[in-house]
Amino acid sequence: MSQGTVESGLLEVFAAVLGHPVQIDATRAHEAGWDSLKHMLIVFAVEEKFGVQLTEEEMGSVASFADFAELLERRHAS
Amino acid sequence: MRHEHVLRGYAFGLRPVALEDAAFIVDLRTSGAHRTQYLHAISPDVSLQEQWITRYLARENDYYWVIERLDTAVPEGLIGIYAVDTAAGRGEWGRWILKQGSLAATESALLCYRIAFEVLGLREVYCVTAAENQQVVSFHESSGLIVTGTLPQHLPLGDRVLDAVQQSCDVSRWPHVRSILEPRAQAIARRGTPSGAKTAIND
Repeated sequence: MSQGTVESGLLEVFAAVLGHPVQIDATRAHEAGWDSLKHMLIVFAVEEKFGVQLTEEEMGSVASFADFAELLERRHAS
Repeated sequence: MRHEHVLRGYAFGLRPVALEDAAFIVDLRTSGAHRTQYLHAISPDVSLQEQWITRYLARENDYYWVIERLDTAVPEGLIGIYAVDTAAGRGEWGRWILKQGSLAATESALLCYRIAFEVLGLREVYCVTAAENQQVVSFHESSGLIVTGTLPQHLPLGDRVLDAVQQSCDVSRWPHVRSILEPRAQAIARRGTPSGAKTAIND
């Protein structure tokens, strides 16, 4: 899976969950609406879309769009 | 307030804060700057925290809990309901803080509302949050709470006085809020026992 495919898929997930488009530099600390409830919805939606399952530690530690992208690229590379 | 209200949920539970929790509270409240920036600063001196807990235990209408994992009884956070007006049947919830990476946010809020409405018999609970604390304001909005007040220059914090937002859930709205929080708490618990939280030292 290419980096572009991961990013475009993630952008779709984030927009669907948060209800607005995000930039690839979005972070949990600063993106409007990315609260703890929406965070878990993003996690579950990412898992479904990309066919992966995050560990509990990963669920708690991913804190930016880039974290999700890096995690997915790592999973698909392994 | 000395109380015995314990509530177990799907993956997390609430148990009353005790004197022995002073070190945990100090550790949680004095580490992780971004999580503590909207809470009043406390001293790193555990004995002072023990004194605070002693005064809290003697105070009426103030409920304070440790949020614990059910499988290990390891504490992951704190939450409270205080300023309870028994005549009006309302109280404020807050003092909410979790370890870095904890997945207990949804379920701890759910348990707090369950205690408020089903155990304490309150008719309304409200949260007063710094307006600039967008993550928490957003969490309450996502939970189904409604804004019941904007409070300019309301929250003294360090050398600043912050605008605040009051968000509320009354007993008629509780089923709606529960319908949002409960399935998500269940979904997190179904994924296995959350084990993502680390001791909050570095952020």
